[in-house]
Amino acid sequence: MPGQSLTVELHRVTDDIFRTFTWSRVGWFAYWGSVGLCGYGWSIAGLLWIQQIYSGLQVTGLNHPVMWGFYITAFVFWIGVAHSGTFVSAILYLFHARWRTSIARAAETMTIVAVMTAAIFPVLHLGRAWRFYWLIPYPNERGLWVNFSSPLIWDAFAVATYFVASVLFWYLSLVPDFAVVRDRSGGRQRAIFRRLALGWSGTAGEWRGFRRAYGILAAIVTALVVSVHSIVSWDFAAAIVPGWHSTIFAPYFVAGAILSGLAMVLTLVIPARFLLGAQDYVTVDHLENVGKLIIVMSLILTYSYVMEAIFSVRDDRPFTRSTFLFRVTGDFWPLFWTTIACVSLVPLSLFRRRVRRSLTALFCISLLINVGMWCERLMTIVTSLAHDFDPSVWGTYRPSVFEWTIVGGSISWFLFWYLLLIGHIPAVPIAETKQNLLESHRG
Amino acid sequence: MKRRDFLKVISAAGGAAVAQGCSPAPSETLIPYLVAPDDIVAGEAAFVATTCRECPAGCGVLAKTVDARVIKVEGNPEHPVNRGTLCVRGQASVQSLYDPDRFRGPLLRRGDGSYQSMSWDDAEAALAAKLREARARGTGRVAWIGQLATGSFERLTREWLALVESDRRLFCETFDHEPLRRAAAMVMGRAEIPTYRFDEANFVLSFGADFLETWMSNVEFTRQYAALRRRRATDPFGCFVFASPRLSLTGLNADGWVAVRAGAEAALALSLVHAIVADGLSHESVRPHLDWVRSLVAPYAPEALTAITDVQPADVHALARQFTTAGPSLAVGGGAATRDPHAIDLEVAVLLLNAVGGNLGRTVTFGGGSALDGLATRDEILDLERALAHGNIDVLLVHHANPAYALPGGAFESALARVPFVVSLASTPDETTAQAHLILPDHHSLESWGDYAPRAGVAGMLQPAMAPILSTRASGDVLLNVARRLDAERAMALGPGDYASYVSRFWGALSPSDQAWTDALKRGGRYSSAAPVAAAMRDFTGSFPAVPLPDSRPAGSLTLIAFPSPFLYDGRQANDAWLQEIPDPVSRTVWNGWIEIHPDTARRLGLAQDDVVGVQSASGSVTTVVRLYEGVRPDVVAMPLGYGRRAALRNAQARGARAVALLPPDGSSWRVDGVSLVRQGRRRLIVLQAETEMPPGRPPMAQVIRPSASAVARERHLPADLYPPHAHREHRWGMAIDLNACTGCSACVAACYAENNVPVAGERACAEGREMSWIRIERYDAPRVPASGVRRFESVFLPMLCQQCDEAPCEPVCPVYATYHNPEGLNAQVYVRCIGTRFCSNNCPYKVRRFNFSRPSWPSPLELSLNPDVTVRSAGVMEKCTFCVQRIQAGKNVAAREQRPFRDGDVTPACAQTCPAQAIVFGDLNDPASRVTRLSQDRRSYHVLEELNTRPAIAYLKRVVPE
Repeated sequence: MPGQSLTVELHRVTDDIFRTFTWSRVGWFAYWGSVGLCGYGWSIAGLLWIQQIYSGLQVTGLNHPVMWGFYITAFVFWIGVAHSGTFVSAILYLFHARWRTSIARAAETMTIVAVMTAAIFPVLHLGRAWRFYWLIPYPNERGLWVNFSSPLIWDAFAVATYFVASVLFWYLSLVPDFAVVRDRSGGRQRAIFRRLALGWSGTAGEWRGFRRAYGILAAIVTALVVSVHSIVSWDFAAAIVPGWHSTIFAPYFVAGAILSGLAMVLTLVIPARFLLGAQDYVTVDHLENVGKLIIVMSLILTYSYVMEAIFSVRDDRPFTRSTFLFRVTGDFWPLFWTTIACVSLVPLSLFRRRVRRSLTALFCISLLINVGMWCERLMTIVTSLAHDFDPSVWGTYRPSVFEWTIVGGSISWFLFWYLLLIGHIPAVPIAETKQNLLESHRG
Repeated sequence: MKRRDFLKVISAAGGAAVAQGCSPAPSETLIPYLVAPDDIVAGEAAFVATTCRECPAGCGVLAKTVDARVIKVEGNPEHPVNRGTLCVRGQASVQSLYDPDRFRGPLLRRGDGSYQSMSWDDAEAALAAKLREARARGTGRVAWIGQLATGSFERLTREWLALVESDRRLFCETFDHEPLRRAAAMVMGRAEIPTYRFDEANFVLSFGADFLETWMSNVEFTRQYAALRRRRATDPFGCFVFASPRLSLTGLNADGWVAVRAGAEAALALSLVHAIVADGLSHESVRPHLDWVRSLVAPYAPEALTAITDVQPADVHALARQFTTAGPSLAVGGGAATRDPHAIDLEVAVLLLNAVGGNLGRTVTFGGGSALDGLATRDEILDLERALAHGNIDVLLVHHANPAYALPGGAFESALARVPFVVSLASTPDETTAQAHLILPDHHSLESWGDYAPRAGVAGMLQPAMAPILSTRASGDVLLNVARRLDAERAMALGPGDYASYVSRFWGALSPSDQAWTDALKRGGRYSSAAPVAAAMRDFTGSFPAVPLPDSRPAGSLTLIAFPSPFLYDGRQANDAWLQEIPDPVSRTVWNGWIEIHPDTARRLGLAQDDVVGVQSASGSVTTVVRLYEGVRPDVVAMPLGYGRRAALRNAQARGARAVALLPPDGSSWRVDGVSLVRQGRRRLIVLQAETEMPPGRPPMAQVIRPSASAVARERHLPADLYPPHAHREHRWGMAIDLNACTGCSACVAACYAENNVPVAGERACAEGREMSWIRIERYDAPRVPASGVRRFESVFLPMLCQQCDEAPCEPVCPVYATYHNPEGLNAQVYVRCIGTRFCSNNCPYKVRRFNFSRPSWPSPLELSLNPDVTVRSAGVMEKCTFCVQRIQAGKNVAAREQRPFRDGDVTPACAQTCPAQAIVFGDLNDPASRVTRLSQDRRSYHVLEELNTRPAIAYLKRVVPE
């Protein structure tokens, strides 16, 4: 921005971002109205959950043999969504992709909220949800312990670890920003942010420590990005069910998770940058970069699909082959073909620059990818269970009103917490944006 | 002392003790003894020997009672009819004992049609008053129509009716085998049911006789047939051919199917006789008769009858050869073919076939004194019907018979309406009871004294296994009480005391401690073998109608046949929830009736599976649902009997359609020509384990072997494992299931429900795929052979239950160790630890785990039938077969108490215990001498889905199918 001194510009950054933080009257109503609506949404779902606990899982569409359905799909889906946050923050940070800054905060917040959403489902789907704590190894006088060979236990650990690490990572990056808010506000807000800023004063020593801690955490979280979804994939791959029992599952799930996470970032950031007036900070260039990443991930997934098909067809046992054929042509064929269309074909349009730079197109594509990834998870779970080894007890699955509502409620839950968080923290990292600005001035 | 002996002693004493406790008022406390008798221990099972009265076969049962409640029935090992096993209906008799819809006391119909409950005193007084009036009006104005009774009850009813100046007494059964008796009278001069020995035969030819499910004595015949199959397993041509337009469960077990045109069974049988005689294959014993036989069957050359029977002459000749060269063979006729205008012709032809095959006196003998000989004939029933309609009867007593439902045409029902006073002695509401003026509910047979002799030499005892739970009264006592009210003096002839003492007097007991009497109580009856009498065929040319051939039918017309339901029988057990919930072995349908249509016919008529159709015949119309089935001829549609009950029965009312409504009103036939089907809509038929064809390319679940297969022991391909195998130091429980013996009768399924408190899921849950049965009978049919001649339908029944794998996929995936490998090789399931992740079920390749989607419930008083040794599971937990771990524990306890090592046979799970074919063998695989170990190493042995390396503890023995 010519004609302006760097200091003024830096100051403007703070002003702009801080403005996302203070509401106009209309904005205030819109914001709290949305939060309330979402709260209402998940309360309904919560009531249904209570009913489900009372009457048992008969209220779902689950049956013999399809024992997992919408709930586990929702778990995998939300865990997948949770992946891009860390991917954007940590991996791109380590690769010094500077454009990531603008969306990092939105993505990280999304990660935390998505894990909070995902974590509900393994509990919610239990036959006896009130015994969920038996999944945690805690010393007890009955001498009972968890079974460490069960992928579900790995899951519990992986998700918990991921949540803790993500929260730390997110919080650490927020500390200097909290200090900015503290310095600029008064009254109760100041008191709160003084606590949150942990006494940050911006000394060179603090910055040095911050950098080091941030780097280490980024490295840890990067490892987690790969491990968590690998472990989630082992929920399936470690079983002997045809269509699940496959070595490709871990990388394939990780790629799928990142893809769905990136798509969710677009879904959230595109409207948010308008609502928060952050067009200058989250530029079309940044979003285009996300689009490019989406192409890469989509291609990886397409490759996985092809590999899976080849493995299935060339398997010397007939079960996997038959499951594959069932996916393609059986009762659930719309799921398979929707997946292919939304995950493999639609993102190809991003090869065109015009599409990549069209926010409408990006937004629509991101929604389609979300749909496709949902279908992919549902298809993977349900088709394998519906037609496995014993033809005599093959079955089918149709989600019930309860499952639709509770899964829909999870979206409300997700948005509820997302709105609450993003509305009360600097939505774009102030310190990091300034640093980028400085570097580009120098550069 | 063996365990069984021990239990028997307990049972005898226990039976007596329970009988002492009998009182009309139900006890309020679970353990009714303030000072317990020495031989009844709280929580310990006592076995009471009695007799099953669900059908006329009269199997002996041991009723297992715990804390004075019957919780299960098992076959009485000493009883010659069933030798310790029971069929699915027998197992379900506990359900009718605790039927929530049972009458709770006497009811009197008011003028407005509603019922008013009353005391037993008043009820008996009311009956006595009516009887007094009737007697005053003349003789023969009281009639009795009831279930088949023999022995003491037969005598009591006879003497009692004499007291009211009547001899109108009919014992009715829907499946009465009357044509057989009449044919025997014609051919042998003896109007009686022959005795059949399937085990003595080398080859069986059945003309629609469903002897493995409903025909006469299915448990006994299944045992005999299994023996035949085992013995003839290496016969390259098979040992059983079924000739019928429809393949029943029995037919699915056959090695060949002759899809004869409906109604042409007699013609086929006669053409077979013709072929045997013409081909010079007849047995030497029949030589003196050859001349007249030859002339008798002269019009029935197979070549001339092809158009009528739809069977090629070459097939008839081949069958004739097979039938005669096998040594003693056996031909039987039954089913729809014996309720047909040609029924007697068929039975005559079948007897003739047995004669020329040299089977008379070997596999078919006479003088057996079957109880079925005492059944009323159709003429007698029509006679009574006329008497009722003409108002000649003032009081009609109906005792466990349901003519208003069972008889076609509605004539009996309207005749019933003309009777001034109908008394029903039924336990549960039924269509006949709906027209009764007075309902005097009888005890259930498990609460009753009595006796039943299914045949000469087998006198079964009925003794109460528990005190009645409702305010019911034994019909015998009602009769005695009423007789005394009516005419105290003449009633003296009936003797003093209640019906129980009447029974003991009948059995010749001088005192309750009489040795012979207590012996009978202990053993469940008196058994001896009656020697067959010598019976010879005689020339009956004169009485045999000349050309008993079926009418020609226009092409494209449909014939409906009704067949006995393997589970509901004639409908009497339709309210037993287990029988509704266990899939019909042929149609796989639950909780509904259906009509079977060949897929080609359905296509021609524009019908599809699940279409609701209106079925119209000359006699009536019903609405039911289409079930496609390749086991019916394309010109035949078939409907089960026993559905479409109107009575207020929660599990039976308005389920399916009453096939009887379509049949000719004179009751002459279960076949009706010229039916039309009109599509009316769609309703999903709930079908479990529907898939009966193995998708191509998969290793078959149910495997077969040809007799010529080389006798090499199978190689076991066991890949290397990362972990060492489990050590089973003491026992490794295992099972062997012989698919060559299994007939798919599903008795094991009902036994499992009873033993393991398996909840009934109900219609809706079944539709949603949430049935809870721990064991299921899968059926796999071989791909079809083009239809002509003696077809192969190669069906194999595969009982599927938890395989108790050594490398169980369910175990490692459970996060909380709710399922784990126990030291004896069981995949134990700890219900209280289960949190319901359901991963175990997903990972189970056999899909035998069952999840409680809802809280199980037992409508009162069914909760009394729960086995206290087995936990009732709550909602949200997984359950599955445990190999009856409670029985294993009990068996080990007995061995430990007797300070001896565990022996093979000490433990028998419920499924193996009841299997009429004894196809299931259980034991310790660690014991090299045990039966199960030997069978597991048989050359026919294989594991289902062996290539998954789950190493199941259940070995299946391949079914032998002919070349």
